[in-house]
Amino acid sequence: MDFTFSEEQQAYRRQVLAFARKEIVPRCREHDLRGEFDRQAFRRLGEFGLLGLHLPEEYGGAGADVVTTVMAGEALGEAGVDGGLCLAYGAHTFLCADTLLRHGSEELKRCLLPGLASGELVGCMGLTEPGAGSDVAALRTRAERRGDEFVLNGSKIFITNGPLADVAVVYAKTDPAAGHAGISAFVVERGTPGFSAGPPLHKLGVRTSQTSELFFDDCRVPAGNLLGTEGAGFLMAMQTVEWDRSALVAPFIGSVSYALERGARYARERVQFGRPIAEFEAVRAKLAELTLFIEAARGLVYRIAWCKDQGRPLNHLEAAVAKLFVGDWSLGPANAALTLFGGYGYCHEYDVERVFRDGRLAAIGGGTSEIQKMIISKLM
Amino acid sequence: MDYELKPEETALAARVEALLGANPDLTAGAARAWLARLGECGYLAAGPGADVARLLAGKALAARAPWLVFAAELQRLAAELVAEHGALAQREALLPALRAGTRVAALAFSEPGRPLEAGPACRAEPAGEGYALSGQKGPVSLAACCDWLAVLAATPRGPAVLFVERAAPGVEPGAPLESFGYAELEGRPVSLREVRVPAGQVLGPLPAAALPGLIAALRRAEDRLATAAALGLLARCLEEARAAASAPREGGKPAASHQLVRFELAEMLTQLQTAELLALRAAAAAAAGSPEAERLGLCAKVFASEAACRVSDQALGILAGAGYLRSHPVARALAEARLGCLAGHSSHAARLALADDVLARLAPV
Repeated sequence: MDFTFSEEQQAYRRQVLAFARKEIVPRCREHDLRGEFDRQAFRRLGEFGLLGLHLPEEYGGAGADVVTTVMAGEALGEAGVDGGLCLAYGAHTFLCADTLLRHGSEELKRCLLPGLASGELVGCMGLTEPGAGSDVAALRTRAERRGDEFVLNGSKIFITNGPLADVAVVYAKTDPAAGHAGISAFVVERGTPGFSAGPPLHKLGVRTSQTSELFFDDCRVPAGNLLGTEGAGFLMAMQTVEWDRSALVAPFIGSVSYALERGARYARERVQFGRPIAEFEAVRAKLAELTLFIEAARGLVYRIAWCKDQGRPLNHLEAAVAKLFVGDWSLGPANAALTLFGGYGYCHEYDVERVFRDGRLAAIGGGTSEIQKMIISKLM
Repeated sequence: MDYELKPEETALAARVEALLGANPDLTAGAARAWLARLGECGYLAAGPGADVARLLAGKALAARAPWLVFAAELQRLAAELVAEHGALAQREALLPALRAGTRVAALAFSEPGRPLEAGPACRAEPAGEGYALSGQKGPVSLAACCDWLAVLAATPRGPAVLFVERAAPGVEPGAPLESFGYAELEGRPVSLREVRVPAGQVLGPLPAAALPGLIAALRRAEDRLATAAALGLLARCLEEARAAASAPREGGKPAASHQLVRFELAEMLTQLQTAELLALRAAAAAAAGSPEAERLGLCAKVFASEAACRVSDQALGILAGAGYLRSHPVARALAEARLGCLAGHSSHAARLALADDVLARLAPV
């Protein structure tokens, strides 16, 4: 066994950290307070190469391996990039662009992927519905074939990047009687008649990512926008699980590292009862809690990434274990980080309240902890 | 990066599994025979760089008899002390038997009511061609069945480790202490009264500055064995709980028909896999001589030993009354897991050491 990163990977990690600290992080707090998507920062992620990092070069990407890609996401969080921007990047790159890469026609890929890789276009994925969250088979959005088109009707909810998206990968039922096998996926572009987005939802955290409903009202898309084959949508959605359990959760781990670094500095600087609070064992124990979480979570998440690099089929049990651990076990450390700062932790200027709020999503988005437990207990 | 276990990393565990299958007697009376078997299969001699193999072998052993991991790892430490501090003649005389497990060494470092860091109160005074050793030690595991006691003592010229024949005049083991768990180790106090020890059996005297190194070596060994033991306990508890949850119950459905029970099992497996990966990462770092090894080792020890406490408690909740019987593996695990949080770096001490590391790395003064 060898759990070390290559020299090249470590060097790239340092580059991402330096880039994010210099160009992205100084903008995060203001955007988070206003609950605004930072399009300029998003474009800079694209220009730096992060939005298309794992995409092939022919589509504007860098062709990086999965471990490097996950590591870059962790580095964004570690640098202090807010969870909202990280989520916007994750949904854009892994749930939209990657699905398009794997299942789109060559024409669609040539047309859309370079723009998604650069950040000129924003992507989203529309799966969840008001009545179909974890229960994907209960989708009600319909797609009916009419000649050379599919006509979509229905709505989606909790769609990251929904209000901004130029490109949406949308899941709909083409055969309502076929359960999972009746789900298909389509590319729907902004401006398509009948396609609209609701206003951004107000969320506890990840506030700079814009989340909304999507509406499809006799929305006609060319048959060529069908991804893969009819009825293959559920499997496509499941393929995003690997990214959900690795690249999308890695920034959460990184954000705990960010809180750890800030907490360590604060503990040195903050003086109470005549001495730095770092000298109090109860404060040091909090730093240890964060360290334990970070090191434990890394092993699980990079296992998913490494297996994907090896071309192994997804081990759903291991993926669910990683998601459950990051989701549930990050809550204590995030809380410890916040309380280490006392009253300052409850205010925004040290960013730990943002880490606390943003991290709460890890146990909900991409499959709740309860769903992970269902998967694990079924497969074990 | 490579998450694949190599054959050389799994072979030792496979040999240990085979021994466990062929030798069902895991009672305290079989301690000497087991140490000889572990010597024969290469466990006791597995050297630096074999950390992953030892961890997996230790886990396999602990899943059936956690006390054997303690016995084996303490024997290993005795051998390591000889290898590091012994003269050539001592290494030739002591090491082969220690590594083969044909002679058993019990570590007698602790003293009642005295922290190791305070140094030993036990004294070894020069007497003729050797030393006369006096003092109180304990608790000493396997004190009644060992061949040698490896006694940490103070000499006029610095600390030393004396390999004392258990049967030597003046060595008086007391009655076994009634411990919360690990009864097979039969930890007991040992009185040493003017015990004559030939110079050839003495490692040292060492420079006074060597004492922290000896203590650190003991702590590291205990951390390693506590980690391996915790992994074995985690695996065993999960195995017992799964079996109990899926067993048909008279007049009702299996416990696993309840979602809460299934979710408990999922949480238990999550903790096992997390602990195992962290421990493997720490072992791989140690084998590679990585600067991260110490930090990862502490993380692995704390996480695994605390997870073993939680999971044994969860398993007991699923097994209910059956698991509450003192002889049941889960009831035993509940007590045994707790020692893991105390041995080596206690959870408290490890957390403070981790915090010191964080402060030094991220916020140096």
